[in-house]
Amino acid sequence: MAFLELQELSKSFGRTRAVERLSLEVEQGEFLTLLGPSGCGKTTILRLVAGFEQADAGRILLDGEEITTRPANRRPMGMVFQSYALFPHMTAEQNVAFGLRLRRLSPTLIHRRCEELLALVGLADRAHNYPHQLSGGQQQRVALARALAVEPKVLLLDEPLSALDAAVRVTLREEIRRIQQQLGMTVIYVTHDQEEALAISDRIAVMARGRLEQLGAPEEIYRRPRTVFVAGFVGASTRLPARLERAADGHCRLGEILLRVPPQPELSDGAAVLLVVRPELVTLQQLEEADGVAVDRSQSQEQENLLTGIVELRTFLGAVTRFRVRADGGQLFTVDLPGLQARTLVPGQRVLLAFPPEACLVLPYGESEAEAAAGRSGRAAVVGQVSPEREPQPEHA
Amino acid sequence: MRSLFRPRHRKPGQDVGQPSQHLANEGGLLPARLALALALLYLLIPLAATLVFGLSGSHGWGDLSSLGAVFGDPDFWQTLLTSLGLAAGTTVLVILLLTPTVYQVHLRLPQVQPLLEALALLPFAVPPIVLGTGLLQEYNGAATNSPLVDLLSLGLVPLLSNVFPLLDLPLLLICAYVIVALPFAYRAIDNSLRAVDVRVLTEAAASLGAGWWRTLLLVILPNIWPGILTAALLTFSTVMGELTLASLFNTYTFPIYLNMTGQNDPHRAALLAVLSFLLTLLCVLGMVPATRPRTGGGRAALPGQIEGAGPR
Repeated sequence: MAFLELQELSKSFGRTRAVERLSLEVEQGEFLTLLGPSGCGKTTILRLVAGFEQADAGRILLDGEEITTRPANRRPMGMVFQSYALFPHMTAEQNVAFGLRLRRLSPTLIHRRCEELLALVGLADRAHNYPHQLSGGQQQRVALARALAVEPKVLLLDEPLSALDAAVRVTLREEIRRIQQQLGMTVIYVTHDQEEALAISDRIAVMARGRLEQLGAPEEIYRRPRTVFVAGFVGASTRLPARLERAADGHCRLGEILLRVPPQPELSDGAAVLLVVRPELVTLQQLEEADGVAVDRSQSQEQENLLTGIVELRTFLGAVTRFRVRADGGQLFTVDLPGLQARTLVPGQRVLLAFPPEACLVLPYGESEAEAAAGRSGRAAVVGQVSPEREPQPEHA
Repeated sequence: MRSLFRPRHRKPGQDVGQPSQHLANEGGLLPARLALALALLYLLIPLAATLVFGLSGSHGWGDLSSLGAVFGDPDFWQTLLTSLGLAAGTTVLVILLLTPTVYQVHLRLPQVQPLLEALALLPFAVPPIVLGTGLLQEYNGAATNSPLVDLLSLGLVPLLSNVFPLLDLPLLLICAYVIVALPFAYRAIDNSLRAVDVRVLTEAAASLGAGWWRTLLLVILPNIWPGILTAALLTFSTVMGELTLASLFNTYTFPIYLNMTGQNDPHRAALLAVLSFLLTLLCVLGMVPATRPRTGGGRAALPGQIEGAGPR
């Protein structure tokens, strides 16, 4: 039996279904992240677990005990809010001590515990500062110490880093992970930032429209997305609608081109699929004008998929440079190249695109999914992607 | 040629690039001071004139016999104590009734806020004489046969007026004062609650184990304290100066004493008016230190206002 179980949870606000029959299990000491776009229901789940909202249906079990209807102040949960929610009239130490005072611990014990916790979050010298005298990052550290003070069985973090600047966000998320591992704390973390989710989680639950799309380890979510939504939401990718010609052999038709993909024995010939290719798995090679038609496909096609195209956009992202390349067949590809390789490529240049069959993730792609993907990807925040690439790619095929 | 705008006494390293501050120091402050002086004169001249008139008895300026007569009058002390008691009772009742109610509305029933605002403004539309007459009619037993009153008050009015002699108790007058003071007190408390994130603070307190009352007492009240004190002060001064309801309820209060004295001895009435003003002023000054936020004197940083320093 899992430490925290959510069984068939449903919650509506008026006519809006925020969470729909969601089941989820969290193990003790696990760091689980609820990831999804705004309005997908991830914060509602956290609030249901915290007891700030009551579920319309379903059950919540903690350590085998049902807590579905238990008031928030009687649940062994700690909560860290996006807006810090520190009590403005109390110092950092008094904020941390608040929960301990309610438990009527001795003043000596409270003082010692506050000192330990403020030291844990690196704010031992700020104990007597009021919230307004602290920076955003420091306030959130105090909020974390305050939540940890009451030794909750589950720590809930609701987009705790959203209000902080980029540098503080990275530092603090590493701190949160360090503290979680140091204390062996069970954590549910809500974010819409996929990079944050991939960086600190043991498992990620990707959500859309109040439902669980996929649950798995960060690498699994990134490398093997199971749905079109997850493929589009987590990480940058090129998404190409295609049709399987010989599913068992992994032959796939993309317009006029025949691509090699991993064999798909479970799919039938002629099935509509979506090919998902991560940008770092595609390579680019500069072509001279005359070479454009002289690519000897017969030799290399067995190993790699080769296409020719023109660089449309070049975006420098620091460690990598991102290219938008329009293939001769009209498809748009997103390609990430390390700095050195990217140096010579500029917009307008003809290039050879190459990617191995294993780089192609094949997802069944019906009409409804196509519509859903088109609808979702407009809202989905994809870190690192330049805005033109956020538009759904399949329309160009 | 020497520039006219050259600073004559510049110290080494002194910053001269702040023209707006310079203006504020030299040119901007004088009109402000002048305006303040005029406002003070406007307020103080009538008060001083009243005081001078009060102290100008039959023996000329500086006649303290009126003052002695005021303090020697047992009615003065009796009415003052009655009014202070009524004001204190009303203030306590207003704060006890309104604070949890408005907090609960902010927290759980935000959709009811417009209704509450309309109700809070209603006493402005109903003159005290109408309110007083209505209350007296309802509670003297004459109207308790009305099924409408019975229904609207959920049976409370006939019960109270039949079982308890409410008309003889100051409680009914205090209740009437609560209604009169409602618009001022509600606005002060409501504004304070709007200034803090009630929901998030309540949820944070709940996640640490605090129930509703503890959250209200330990988290919400300290953050809306200035609003509570403003509400208390406004209620207190409203009751201290209220005449119509007290007359209708046949209660001998300080404003009635002031009114009656004014008809017989205008010098004493003038002194009483000054004393009344000083009493209110003392109340205000007494509350000022308590209205200062206990957060180190600054304003809390809002989420999203990120200082460049980051975590240290």
